[in-house]
Amino acid sequence: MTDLAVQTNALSKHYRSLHAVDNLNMQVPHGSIYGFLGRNGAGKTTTLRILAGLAKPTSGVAAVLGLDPQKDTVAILNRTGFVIEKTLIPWMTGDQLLRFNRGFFPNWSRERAGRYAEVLEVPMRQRFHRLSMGNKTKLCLLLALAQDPELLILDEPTAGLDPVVTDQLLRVLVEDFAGTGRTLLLSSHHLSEVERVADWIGIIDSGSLKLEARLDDIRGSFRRIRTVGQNLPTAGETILTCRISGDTAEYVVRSQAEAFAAELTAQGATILDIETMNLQETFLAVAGKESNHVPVEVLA
Amino acid sequence: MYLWKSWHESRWIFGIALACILLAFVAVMQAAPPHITITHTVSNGNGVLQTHTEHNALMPMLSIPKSAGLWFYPQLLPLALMAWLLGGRGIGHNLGEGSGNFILTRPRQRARFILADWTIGIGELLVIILLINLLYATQVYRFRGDLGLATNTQELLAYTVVLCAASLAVSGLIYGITYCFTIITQHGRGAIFAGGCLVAYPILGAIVHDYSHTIHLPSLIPHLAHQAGTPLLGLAPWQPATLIRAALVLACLFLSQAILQRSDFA
Repeated sequence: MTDLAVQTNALSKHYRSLHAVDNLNMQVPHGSIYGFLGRNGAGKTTTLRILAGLAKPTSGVAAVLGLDPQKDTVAILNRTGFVIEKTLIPWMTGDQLLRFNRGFFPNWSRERAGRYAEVLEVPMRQRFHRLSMGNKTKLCLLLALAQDPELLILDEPTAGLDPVVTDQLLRVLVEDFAGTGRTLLLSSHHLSEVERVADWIGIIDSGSLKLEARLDDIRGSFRRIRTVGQNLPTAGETILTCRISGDTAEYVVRSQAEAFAAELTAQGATILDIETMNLQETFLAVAGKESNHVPVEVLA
Repeated sequence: MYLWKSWHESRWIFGIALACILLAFVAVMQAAPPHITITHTVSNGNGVLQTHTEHNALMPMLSIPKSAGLWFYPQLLPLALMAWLLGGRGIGHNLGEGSGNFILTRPRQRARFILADWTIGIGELLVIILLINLLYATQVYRFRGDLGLATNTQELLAYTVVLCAASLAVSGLIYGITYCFTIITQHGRGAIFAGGCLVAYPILGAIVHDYSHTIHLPSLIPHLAHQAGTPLLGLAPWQPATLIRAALVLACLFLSQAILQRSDFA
């Protein structure tokens, strides 16, 4: 547990027949920037709410910084910044929200808060409910960053933001978290943005984690193999996904693509091609309906 | 800081109540006690003799207990309204408007947020109640001669305390029930449900009583007027009624805390 900032073990959250989170096993290493990807309704927000102690799991366990979110909620909240819903107290101005928030955190630094306000260009004298969507999000992030958390958990931080604001936010996050030993867990379905900042990826679909890997491993060793043959294998140690239609098959393998292709060839199959994969292709293979070739951004 | 937020969100209610009381103070302090002329007609052997005497219009309030009873009921309506408005402004309201998640992810026990809301809410009610009943005490003391009351400041003070305690118990109960409903519904509209229940309860009581005269649903309001003339010291009849309501207020507080602690915000 100590090497992991967040860990879940068979975590489930059910609402009658709906399994929002289903047997989720997730491991977020300390010091990583972890992109938690999934389509809408995949279970990302519910998972993050469980980590914040806002929702109770139906079964399974979760640990945040080695602590139980249900029992040690206050201790976790002291060390972790959560931005789950981007709604703050509507009548407060940015300055009032800073004053309100700093009373809760002993490590609060006015200087740091002021710097973030300047960098993110948040109008601090306007009431929260009068701010634009982008400024609301930036203010939420500012409050979370200024508490100097060991772990920052953000739910869809760039949702509804224009490209300029998105760029500002991502720059700040990278500057503050990359290589600092602090951990950032951000959920999103905007793959290109996650790809810019994350070093670890977790893909959730229908409540369970389908893939957890380093981004470099996805880029470096994940391959798509198209093949034609009979009695092709449907499962294997390195096979991530497999789609068979008649005599043709399409595999996504985690590693050792050449060895797997050689194995198929030895079984009499013909290899049509072996392709490297980017994050979007991997996401579509794992969580999307890849045969439709619908971009993930549109699906979201 | 949460105390400041609670104060900021409820101060307009407190401000309006305070302004009303100050206006009432000014109006009452400037007014002379109303007088009426009573004509006495006496028949004697020589005919009818009529005499006209000036009396204070407040003559019926010949005793402090009776005047306290008459003062108690009218203050309950504005206090109930204030308590209901304040009860709907807590963290349940924040949950409804979407800022509840932000507050509940601040590193504090949820019970402490509720305690802060109650400190401000009950505190504001207490100040208003003290001022209302200070107005009563001032008026009775001022017109004690006109009212034909013996100058018994100790009794007046005791009855003022009784009025404050009974009013706080009733308005606190309304505050507590309203607050509890907003926590149960996780929304400010819980106050509307609470208001509906508070209005429906006495109607239900009347229907039940009409159906069977042996069944009496307990009233929200202690029958202070019935206690007129009873001793204030020792175990006076008003004390258990007020204490039961005070216990119910505390029960609402603890229930709200327990519900919020166990709530699932999914």
